[in-house]
Amino acid sequence: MSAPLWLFLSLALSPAQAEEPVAELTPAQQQMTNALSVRHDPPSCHELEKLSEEPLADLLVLVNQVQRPSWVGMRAASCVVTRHGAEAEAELVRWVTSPDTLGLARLVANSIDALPPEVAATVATAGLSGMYAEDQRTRLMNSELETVRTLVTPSK
Amino acid sequence: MVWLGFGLLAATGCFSPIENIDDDDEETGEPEDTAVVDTDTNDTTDTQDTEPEDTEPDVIIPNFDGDLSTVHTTIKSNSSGIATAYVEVPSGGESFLLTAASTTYGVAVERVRAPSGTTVVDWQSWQGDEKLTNAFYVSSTNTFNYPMLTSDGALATGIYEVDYAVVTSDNFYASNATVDLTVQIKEDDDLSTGTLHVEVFLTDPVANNAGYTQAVYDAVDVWNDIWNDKGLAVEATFWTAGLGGTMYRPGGAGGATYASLSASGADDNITLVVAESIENTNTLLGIAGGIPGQLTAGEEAVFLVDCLNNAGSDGVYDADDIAQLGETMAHEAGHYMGLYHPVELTWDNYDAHSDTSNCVSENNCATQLGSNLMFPTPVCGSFGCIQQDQLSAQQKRSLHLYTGTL
Repeated sequence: MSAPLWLFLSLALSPAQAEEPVAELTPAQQQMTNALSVRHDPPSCHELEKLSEEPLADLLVLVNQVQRPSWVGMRAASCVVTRHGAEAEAELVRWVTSPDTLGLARLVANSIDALPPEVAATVATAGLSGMYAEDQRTRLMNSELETVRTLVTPSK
Repeated sequence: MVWLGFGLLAATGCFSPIENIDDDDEETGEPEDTAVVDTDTNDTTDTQDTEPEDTEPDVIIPNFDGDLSTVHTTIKSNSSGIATAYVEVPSGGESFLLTAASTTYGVAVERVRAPSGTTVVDWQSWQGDEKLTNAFYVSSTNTFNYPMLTSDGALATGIYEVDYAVVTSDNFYASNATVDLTVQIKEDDDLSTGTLHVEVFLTDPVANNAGYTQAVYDAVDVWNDIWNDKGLAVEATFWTAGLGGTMYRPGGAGGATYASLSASGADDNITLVVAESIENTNTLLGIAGGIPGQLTAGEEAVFLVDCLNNAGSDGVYDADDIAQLGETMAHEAGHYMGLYHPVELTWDNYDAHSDTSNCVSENNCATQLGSNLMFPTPVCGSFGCIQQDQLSAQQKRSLHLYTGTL
């Protein structure tokens, strides 16, 4: 059985080439990273999570640690939103309010309807009071959730 | 050189008319796998029962406007369900692109005969682990470019015969069925240089977000830089499409929109649609409407790239993000111009070029092909990602042979 690509890369390139140290991923996290790196047809979230014994924890590591390719963290975040919204509510609130997570904030707002309604309301409320408020508002206006629409529709 | 232009296009929702089913259309239930097959693709005169039933076939005569001829016509299937296009290639003709379409039937290229009568392409020779063209697969719009490979050699002067299978939705050959056909031929006396004209449509919210918009301009420059040392140039014209909401993959739900957008340019243009995300998912970074794709307007006549995922979790395009977006554009354009991945992620399926390795494992393939523009996955580590901007000599030639490269 051949060694995985990440091992090849870590062996082929000297440590001096690394620009900054990064926490090492576990084999499961690395497998998930490789699976999400592909240009076309990544596995579904359901299939992806079969690679992990702690899916949410591993997905969050990917979101927070994997920088390249840039879409790995975004695809992992999408799985968090669609499959772990309630458990990850605090993390979602952080994404829609932190200064370095505009991409995640947009992803969450675009996918707000995938969250349980009460979680969506909490996250939307945080987003509308955060630093991306206007950007969030235009996206949340497309929501079909009543709990969200009441937040972005001007009161009479 | 990249030309920047700006414009506003209102999406008018042009719908293609629905073709009435011809009362004379018939089904003939002869599956392809019972046909007598020539297994030698290069040196055999085709002897199958696909000869035209008319004694005087309608030859499609080119009508050049500059370096490109575009002729719209129809062809009709014979009693075996084969519709043959007779394409006259003039002296100086370098390649041709055929787009066959039907709203009623599926069409697929079965074989091509050169003016000498020699069968030069036979779909049954491509059922193994190498891919040549999507034109072998049945679809409602079928685009076929020839030549594609270095081994194809130059086009001969004379009449090429391209046989299409015309099939019903339940996969029977359809006799006496009419298929719309667009035949484009290019003249090009120098295949070492070429220019691709691209209409770039920015949809909302990309169009009204300065960060996204600048990233798209810069990424097109990256794409152009990737191509320059291969003798290729991108000439892009940028449009704000006035389109919001979900952008779908080519064809299907987005088909009418894309037919409208792709109708805006000339017959030698391809169309790039830049969306914040494709199908409102995070799975598609980019997608091409064909391998190869058509030059004239159609529901699949676009390729798309996504802006949200390429920017990453911080949502801000830095130089590395722009480089990857540019690579994504060049990668999808490569598909649209007929290139497959040199190897698929199963590591046992390949393109048709003999100078891209038929590697057999992840590590082996990353070593040999990881810097290839058409490699199916970026090769990244803590150092960043390997630049994927290389093409083999045969891949480059294939891009130059795409009929839209002038």
